[in-house]
Amino acid sequence: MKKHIFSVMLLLASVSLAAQEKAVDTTNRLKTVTGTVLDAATGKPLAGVIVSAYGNQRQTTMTDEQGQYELKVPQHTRSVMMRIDGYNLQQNAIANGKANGRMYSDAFRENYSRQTTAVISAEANRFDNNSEFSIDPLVAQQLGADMRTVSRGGIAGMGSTMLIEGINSLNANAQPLVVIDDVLMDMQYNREMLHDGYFNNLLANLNVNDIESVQVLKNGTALYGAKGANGVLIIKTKRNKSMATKIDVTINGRYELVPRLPEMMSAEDYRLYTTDLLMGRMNPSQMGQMKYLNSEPDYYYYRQYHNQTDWTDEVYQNAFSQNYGINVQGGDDAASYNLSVGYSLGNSTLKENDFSRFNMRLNSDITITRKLGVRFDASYSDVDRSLRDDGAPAQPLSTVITSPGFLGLTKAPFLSPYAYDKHGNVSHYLAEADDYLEGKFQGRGRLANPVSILEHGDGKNRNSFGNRLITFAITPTFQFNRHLSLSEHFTLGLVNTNENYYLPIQGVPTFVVEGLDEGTTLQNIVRSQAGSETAIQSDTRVSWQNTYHAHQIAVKAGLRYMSNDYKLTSQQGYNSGNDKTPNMSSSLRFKSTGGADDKTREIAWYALADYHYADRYYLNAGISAQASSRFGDDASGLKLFNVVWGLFPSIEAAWVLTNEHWLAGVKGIDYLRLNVGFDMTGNDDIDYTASRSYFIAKRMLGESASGKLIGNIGNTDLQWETTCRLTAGLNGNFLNNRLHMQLNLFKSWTSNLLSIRQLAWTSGLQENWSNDGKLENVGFDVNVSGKVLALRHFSWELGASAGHYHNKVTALPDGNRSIETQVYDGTILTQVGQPVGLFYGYKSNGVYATSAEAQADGHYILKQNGDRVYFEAGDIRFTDFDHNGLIDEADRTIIGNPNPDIFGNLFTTITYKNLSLHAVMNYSLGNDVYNYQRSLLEGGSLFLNQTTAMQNRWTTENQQTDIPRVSYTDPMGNARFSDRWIEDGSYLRLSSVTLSWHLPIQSTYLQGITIWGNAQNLFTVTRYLGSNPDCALGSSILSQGIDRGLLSAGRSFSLGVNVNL
Amino acid sequence: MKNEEFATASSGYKNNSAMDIQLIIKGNRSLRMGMKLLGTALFILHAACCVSCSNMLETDSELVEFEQDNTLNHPTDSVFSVLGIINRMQIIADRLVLLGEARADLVNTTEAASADLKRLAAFDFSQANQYNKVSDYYAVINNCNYYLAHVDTAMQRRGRHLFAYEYAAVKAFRAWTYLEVVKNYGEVPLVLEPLMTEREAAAAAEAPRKGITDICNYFISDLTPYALTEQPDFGTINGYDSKEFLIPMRALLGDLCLWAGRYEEAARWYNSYLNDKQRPVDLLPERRVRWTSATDYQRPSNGYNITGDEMLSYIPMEDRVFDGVVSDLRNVFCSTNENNYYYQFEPSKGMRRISAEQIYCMEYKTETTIDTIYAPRTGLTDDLYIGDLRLSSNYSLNSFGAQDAYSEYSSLRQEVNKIISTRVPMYRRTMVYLRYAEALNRCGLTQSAMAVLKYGLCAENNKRYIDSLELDKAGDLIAFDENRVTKERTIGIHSRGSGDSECNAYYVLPQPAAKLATRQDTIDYQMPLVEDMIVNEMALEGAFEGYRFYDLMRVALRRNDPAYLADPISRRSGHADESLRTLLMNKNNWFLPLK
Repeated sequence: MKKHIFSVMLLLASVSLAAQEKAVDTTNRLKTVTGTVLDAATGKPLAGVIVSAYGNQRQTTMTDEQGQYELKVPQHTRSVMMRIDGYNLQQNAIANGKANGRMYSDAFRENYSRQTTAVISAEANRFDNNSEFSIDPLVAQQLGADMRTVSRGGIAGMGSTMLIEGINSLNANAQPLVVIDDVLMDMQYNREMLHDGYFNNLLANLNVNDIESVQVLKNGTALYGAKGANGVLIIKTKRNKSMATKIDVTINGRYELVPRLPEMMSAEDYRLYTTDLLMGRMNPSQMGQMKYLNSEPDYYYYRQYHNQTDWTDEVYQNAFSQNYGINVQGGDDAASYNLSVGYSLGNSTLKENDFSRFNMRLNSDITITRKLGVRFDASYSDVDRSLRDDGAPAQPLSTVITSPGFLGLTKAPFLSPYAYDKHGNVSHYLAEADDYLEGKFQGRGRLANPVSILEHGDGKNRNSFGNRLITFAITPTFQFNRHLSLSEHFTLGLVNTNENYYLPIQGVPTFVVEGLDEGTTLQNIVRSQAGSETAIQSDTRVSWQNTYHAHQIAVKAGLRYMSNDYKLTSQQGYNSGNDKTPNMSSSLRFKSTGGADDKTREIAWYALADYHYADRYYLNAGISAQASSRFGDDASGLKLFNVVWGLFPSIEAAWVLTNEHWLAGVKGIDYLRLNVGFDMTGNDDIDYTASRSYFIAKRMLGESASGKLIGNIGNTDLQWETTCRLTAGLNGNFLNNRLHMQLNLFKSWTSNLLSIRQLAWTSGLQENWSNDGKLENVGFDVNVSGKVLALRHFSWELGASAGHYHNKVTALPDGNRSIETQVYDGTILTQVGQPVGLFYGYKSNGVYATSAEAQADGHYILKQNGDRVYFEAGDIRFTDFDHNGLIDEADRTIIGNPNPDIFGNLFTTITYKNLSLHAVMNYSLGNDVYNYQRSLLEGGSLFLNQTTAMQNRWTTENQQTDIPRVSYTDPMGNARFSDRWIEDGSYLRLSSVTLSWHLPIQSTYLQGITIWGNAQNLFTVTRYLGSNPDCALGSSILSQGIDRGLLSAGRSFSLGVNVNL
Repeated sequence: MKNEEFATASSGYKNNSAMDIQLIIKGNRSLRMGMKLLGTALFILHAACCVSCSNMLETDSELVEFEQDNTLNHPTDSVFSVLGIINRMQIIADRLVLLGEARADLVNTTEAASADLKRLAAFDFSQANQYNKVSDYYAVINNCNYYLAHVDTAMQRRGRHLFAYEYAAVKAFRAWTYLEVVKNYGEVPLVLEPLMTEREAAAAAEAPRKGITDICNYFISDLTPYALTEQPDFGTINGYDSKEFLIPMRALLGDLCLWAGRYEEAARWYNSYLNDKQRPVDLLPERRVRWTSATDYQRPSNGYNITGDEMLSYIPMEDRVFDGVVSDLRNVFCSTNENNYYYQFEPSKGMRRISAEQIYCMEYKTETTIDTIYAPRTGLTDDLYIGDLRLSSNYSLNSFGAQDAYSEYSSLRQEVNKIISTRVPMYRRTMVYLRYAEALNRCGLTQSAMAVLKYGLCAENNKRYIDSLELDKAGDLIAFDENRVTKERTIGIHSRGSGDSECNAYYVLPQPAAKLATRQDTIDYQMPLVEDMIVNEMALEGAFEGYRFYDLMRVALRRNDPAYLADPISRRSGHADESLRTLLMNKNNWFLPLK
């Protein structure tokens, strides 16, 4: 029965088009439009402006010397379009047969487009004159409020996390679908990397110079079916546009300064700190025997332990990067092409984190016969990096700290990176790991020599990462006639990554790893992995479009098939024996292998229709039906052909008010459009195998046997998350097009959230994925820009944007039970009625200055064995919400929210003749950041150097301070997850300032030269104490706003030249 | 030029309405044609999809084996599956001991004990407890159920049903796990089919629950046809004889019958197992701890060790966390580097009392005479030497003065050397004998039961120590192969720690003060008293191995006397804990809550 419904529906979608056909309006006549077009800067008439009926190239004319034109257009035409090189495009409503225009220089942003659709989107373009390795920061700068972006870090090309229209998922991917030249990409957001803190940003495989535009699609996403719930980012690469051959050469270089770092204690202050830690932990009589505490200058070991090393100098550097590129465009009637080749070399301010990329792209359009055309695109890019772990470690005591950046901050400053010889002189040999606590102290706390990790870990077979992205696309299109065409878009994408990891023996302390064998100390780590992804996409599409009088209809229908195979193999082992043999070998200890074999198959049927009437009413409707191998067999959806289909309709409408007679020509209002839309979209980022029952192999009984056991019982009901979204927008140009304003509103409801649910205990398994939970988002974004000055040689544009979203969880699994997620010692609360990502911890209220104060409160904690331990003088006074004296989990409260109140950008462009200055500021207000790194740097619990703030730590009775006493491993939990580590992450940053000078040269060989200079991150206004409040931990929504001290972007200065041949 | 063209076109548009109409017609034709093509395309795609949509969406994996691929028709599949079940049993292994000891009266939790263990000891199940995870038992059960439902039992090779041995072994695993889970939870759903979807699992959790007797009765019938099926032999794995991973079917049947109150059958199954034709279970007399001299009580000679082949069946554990599930028992019972010497259990006053109450007897032979001597109860070098010696043989506590006040380590070191980290016992020789004695006793064969404790059952001893009336009554319930289980290869279990019990005048079959009317009256008088002796002997022999709570519970249920359990447990620390006693007088509080 259902089978038939679907077939009928598909056919109806096509047949209904015929119903649109209607009788010819025999009264149809042409009318005459006249007008004058002036140059807004000079007020003088502009000749040669092409004027045409908007959206209809058939009626076109050109202005004369007086800037006047006369154009015959169909009666229903309500506006004309004006364009001329060097100026912005303009649309003008016809009022009483007249449509005048004032044209602005194209130094300003475009506020009109050639075509109007009912879909709301925002576009970033013009990515020239910069030295970025990936498009992310540029998109972030341009689309300040249209998309919330947070930087993943300062290592070259790590990019940003992106969120469009709030947060539409909890556990599944919440970032937009990326479509590059019509290819739906798997961005590998959740793939594990061997190097801690590193994220493989596939966008860094694209050369910025190859990108024409980046569009954020906020509604009208039916085509993308179960992938569109988080919005869509459409990236288009450059194609040839003219017959003339054009060659562009770009060369630029960038110098980046070490980012702001926390101020750490000096050698003597740290030495004092360590004695505070040892106090009460070891016999004072033995403390005197510790070599590093001997302050006799004649003492044999004195020099070894009396250095003043700024370890950050050893691991950070000012970095230089460079980009080279050549782009050739050209062609003729038969074929046109755009070929680009580029090479980039980037250093990071954290040593040994270098980037190099070679990229090549060919986009071609070939006309085979009059009716048959083929688009053929191919690209290749190869990224190579050296990498090291970065960021504060999750469990500093449970393993060895391997991040040079973190070691650079925390390593004891009284030690030297180089060893002392027996005569007491510094040698050129690198020092071994810390040993100043050895022998006497039973705790853990040895730190590696970061310089040794940098030097002995150097090499392709040690710490390297490679990533190759190869794409082929072939798109034959058969044009039956003016109205009907059939096309097939076939693409093959390959992504290969390989990564080697090596932690050297030399300079690294021996360590133990939980989960291996308690008794075994380990020397070093060797890891390697190789991943490959093959993505095949086929999109067969029938397109038809026609015009009936004032009605324009365009319909597309088709079938998309996608196949994605991702395979990963990884190995790791310990104790390579010596630093000469960094490879995986059979002699390693605790060898283990891992991997992934994730396959997805998807089929989607879709039908999309665009309709508009007389430049006033626009309608866009679409529906897609998607089936996926990831859906469970019993998912609730349309069951047809033995599979389950999710249906994703969308309908959008727009009304251009200024094209109505009653508003056309009204002074001050040049353009006004109202958009409304409703979309039902899905998120199919479902665990690959959760809907199926399967068995796993478990190695057991030494390594001599393996057992096969039930690994999962399938949730056959598993399905996509569904997001329904209402959107509305107002788009207007006012005051002779000097003021542009755009306001978008949205409200969305997401249901069937993918969440972990406890399985019935009879299954013998703990949990599985299910669809349970709901959330809502509501918000707006507003963009305002104004042409402040538009003079003959001087123009000044000023703009700003603001975005806001508020999201709220409305239902959760297991009867709305709140969910706590542990991330870097922090607790993230997911609770009904609250936004996602809340920080849930203890509230602190100063430090007990005296024992009397502490006793008066009588707060205590329970040890694991149930004994009470009371807080004392110098401990944090935690708020005891339940007034029982016991400070425990019941005393936690919401202490922060990583979601901003408002975010966006400010920008300005000043152009004087061929000189142009462009500046962008980005801001985010009201978001909290959990400064995890600071919780270690000011935690006072480990043998890690601390910030200078720790000089104020409580040491004596009656001392008034807000920093508690220090104590090894912090038994009282003074450094626990509390509001001490939650900071206001609001900031205003001058992200980019670009000054460019275009030399127009008219010679046979040279068309022009642009010389430009750019400065990034010149300053940031913030109260945040860490390096950068604009920091992301990972892709997960539940780890927003957590700063683990990953390298952040420093100030950088670039200089470049673009030569047009 | 181009503009002109456009202008012409637009004027043509205006003037020639005929052309206009033609255009529309053409448009229509193109539409029709388009529709036709579209229709055809849709039809083809539609047809293609009907056939292959579900095929097109099919995926496989190299990392996991999807259910439809797990066919269980190859010998290696079968072995891997059995090992998989053992893998799940490793997870519950520690709980066999901890749940059985923490709740009983032979250990106290120390200050260092985890809150979870302390709550177990206090029967406080109000909070989540790592030892209360019923799903771990059902993980074993579900894997067993899957195997039993899917293994290709019809498959034959060389005239033998290929998987018959494994099939029986898995049935035994399942029954054993059910007995474990129902002992701890009181009532559980009896799920016998594999649950392979979430829906099935949720439905099963709501199924009606069965108590201990029902569960036992079901599995007695389930296992009986396989009682004599041979055990599969996977050879040696990681130095273990893999046969010892399997459950001795008849011993398990004995246990099930014992719990179900079917005593004669229990005795019969135990006897059948212990007196097996091929592999009889004997008791070596030298496995005992004793004083070797009637004059020197400095240090007993220790031949008592249960960690070797005394274990008939055990759950093998991993050596290293890296390899999988390791046992945490040594960290609970003993001082280790991992727990900084802070052990969590120590022998309770109750345990010490039971041990000290025993009277050590020695048969003292000189060249001419045989005397019976009783070991002194004062003046010994260690209090643990009073009475039974097994506790002293197993347990030691030493103090190390070297640790200063700043040390993270405890200055006391405790060692319970019957706890080993690589094997958690399921069946031990003496424990099977003791349960056999329990069954015999309940059959009215009090002399036979007493003989297990005092002399050791064998043909020769039976004739000497059991009167003919009982011999007749017992029949082959106490039959032992004369050639295999001999006097030299058996021992009264009490003698393993309390000297030569056969001569012990204080350790005898209880007799009524005055002769009772009938023989049956005497037996009825003796039966509970012998049972008490057996339960005590189980404590002496099986302390710290996790049997105690269940032994007390079994007898308490049998006698319908909660005090039998509540009294000793509420007095475990030497004084009476009245609130605990009150709690335990309600037998619902004995069991872990099943959420």
